[in-house]
Amino acid sequence: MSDFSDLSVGLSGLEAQQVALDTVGQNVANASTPGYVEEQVQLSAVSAVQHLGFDQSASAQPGDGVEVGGIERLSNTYLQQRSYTEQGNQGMLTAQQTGLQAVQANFPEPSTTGISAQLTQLWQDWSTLANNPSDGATRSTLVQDAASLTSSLNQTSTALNTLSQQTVQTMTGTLGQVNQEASQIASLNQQMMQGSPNSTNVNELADQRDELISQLSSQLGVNVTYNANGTANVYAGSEALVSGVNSQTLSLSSGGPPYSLAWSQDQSSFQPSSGTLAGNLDVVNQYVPGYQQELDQVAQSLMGSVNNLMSTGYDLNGNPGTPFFLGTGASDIEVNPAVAADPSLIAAASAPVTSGSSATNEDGSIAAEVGELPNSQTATIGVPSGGWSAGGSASSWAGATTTTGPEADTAYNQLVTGIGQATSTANNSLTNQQAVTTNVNSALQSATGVNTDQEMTNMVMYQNAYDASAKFISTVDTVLQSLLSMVNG
Amino acid sequence: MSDVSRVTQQSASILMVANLQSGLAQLTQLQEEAATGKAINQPSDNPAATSEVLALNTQLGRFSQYSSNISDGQSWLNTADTTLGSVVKSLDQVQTDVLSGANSTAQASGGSQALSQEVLSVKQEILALASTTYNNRPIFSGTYGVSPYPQGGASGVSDPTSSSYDPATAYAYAGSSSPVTRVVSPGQSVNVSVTGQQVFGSGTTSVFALLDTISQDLAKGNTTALSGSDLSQLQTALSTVTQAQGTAGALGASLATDASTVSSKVAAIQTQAANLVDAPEDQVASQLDLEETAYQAALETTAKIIQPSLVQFLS
Repeated sequence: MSDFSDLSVGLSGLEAQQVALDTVGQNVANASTPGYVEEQVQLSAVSAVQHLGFDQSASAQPGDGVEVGGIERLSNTYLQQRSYTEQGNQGMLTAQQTGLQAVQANFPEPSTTGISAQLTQLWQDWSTLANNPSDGATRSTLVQDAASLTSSLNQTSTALNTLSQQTVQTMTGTLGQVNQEASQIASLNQQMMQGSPNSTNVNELADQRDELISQLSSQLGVNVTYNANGTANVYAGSEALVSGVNSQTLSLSSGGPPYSLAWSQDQSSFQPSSGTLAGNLDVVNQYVPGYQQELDQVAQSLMGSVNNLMSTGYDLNGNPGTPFFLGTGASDIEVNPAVAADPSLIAAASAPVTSGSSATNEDGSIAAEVGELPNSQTATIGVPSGGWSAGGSASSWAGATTTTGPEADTAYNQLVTGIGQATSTANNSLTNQQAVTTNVNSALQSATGVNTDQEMTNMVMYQNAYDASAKFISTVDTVLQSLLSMVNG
Repeated sequence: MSDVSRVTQQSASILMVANLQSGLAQLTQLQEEAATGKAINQPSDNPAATSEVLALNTQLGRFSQYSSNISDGQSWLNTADTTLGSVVKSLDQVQTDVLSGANSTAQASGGSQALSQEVLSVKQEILALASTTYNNRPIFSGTYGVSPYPQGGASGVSDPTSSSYDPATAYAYAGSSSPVTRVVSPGQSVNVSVTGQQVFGSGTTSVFALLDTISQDLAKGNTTALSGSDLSQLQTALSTVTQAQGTAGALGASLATDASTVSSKVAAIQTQAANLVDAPEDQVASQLDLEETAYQAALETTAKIIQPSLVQFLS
């Protein structure tokens, strides 16, 4: 130990405190940067070098100062993975809830203008027709109200289709982001491998990478493993989206429903179980097609039960009834154009007037039966092959009249209630999940984020240490000065 | 709040924002209820109640219809009742004429042209009554939209003095044999008319043919027929009409009962639906108050917590 080496001990102190202060600066600067993980200087004492020579007698030897071992990133892999998992769950539930809310927006019930109210009005129109079977105005009103009901059914069906298409577009956009994020993660892995942890600070690269994985997790739901060289592998399901410096892409099947995702490497299909993509797939594969089918049943029940009664009736001209509604389902149901053009073709009577009589037929018993349809729980819902068509005869409908199902009002009620139930459940699940995600993210931030108070305390501590080292150097200098003056003196 | 030992500025803000947002969400929900006055603004607000309300509305539509069917039916029956009352009066008049014609020895030789003419004009009256309409529909033609005795006033065939007199054609009933019905409750329909055939008969056995015969007998002074078959047939016809009037009255009375049942049912359904849909105003108002206070308190607290860090105290 020499007085000159004391100077280098003091210098190492100055340098170390300088790095520590720089780290405080970096932490404070990034206190609100998303994904930034707090960094800490690793200081360690340098042990004394064994001095061979004249000074061997000295038994006690202090160390050779302090050195900076590195700057550690205070990450927490356990909380990090939990955060990815919960973000994936929240992403899925958010997409499900958004989809169901959008479905529900097309069923504004209970209301005085919705399909339910229109059905009620239709049945009342039929009953009114039963009271005034030959009245042209009553017949026209019935046709108009029926037409507005069928157009509501058409519009709702179209709206559901549009929703499905929009969701598919959203998924395509999300997949573009996912693929880009995957390739960015792979390239960050590459940079981290090139910059050895000892020579270059890779902490900021790791922050960027983890932030990307965090975004990815809410879109797709991922599992992450870390390699010894600091790089990360990102798995979605059982396949690796990112494996070290390599990444692959996901694409959406072109036709559907059902839609599915496919891996670029082996073209195998992939059904994500969390993330917004999983929720969106539920919307296009399950929710919309399911509700579309139920809406079709409403239309089919309406067509089947009314047309079936029409086949037993006679119109004002004494001819056997024709179908009142045409079509196959909710998307194409319409009032028979022939009937719309000439409402006297509505088969309101159960029998024609006796031949030779010039009387108008004031029998409305079939119309009365139609008006009473909502009182029964079940109805004829079968559709003849090719749909209800204008030229059909009673005999050609025979096969269709044997299938029964819920009456139109009941079917619609079940549909709306089902949507309400699903939406309500989705709302609650999302609220619960938000609380969980918030807590996990907050816990992650608590563990890895920057605490300004702590940084300020450290700053004062490092500043004092810096001052002390400087004071030490100046003291050693004074000692040397006095030694030299004595020698020179 | 989670019980974490280390707190960072970001972790604190994540929790605070989440808490504030859930408060705001509850506030918004209550504000929607208060603004619309409805507890159910979309099906997801209360799926079970939505289902019930939809079913109740369907029922309400039906029962409002029954209510209008019933009042329509009552009008039909009232018209029939009044008309049949007039017919009874007219036939009473004929009975008086027949009795006076049968008992009058003064007229025995030459008969009474005056009485004969009076009976013929009564026949025209009754024919006109038989064609009474309600809402442009002849009430005695059943389900056919046609005057029940279209040839009743035709010259020749309906004139008993004419050589072409043909009661079978003149008084042929042109209506249907099925009466008009109205649905008054689920699965129950009632007759709201009586057919002309039931009340007046048809062709040669119709009340009109009888009146022609009586008119002729009065003109001829055929006292035997007048006091015999004419009188008895007239009395039979009279009792038929009286009975029909009684039937119409009874149907009308039963419809009045149905009307009150249906209107109380309608009121009950409306109350039930309103209870499910309407947001209880006082409750919503007080809850809104509560949530607003809580939200403001949360905002103030957050504003206080968020302020200081050590930075402010280092010089």
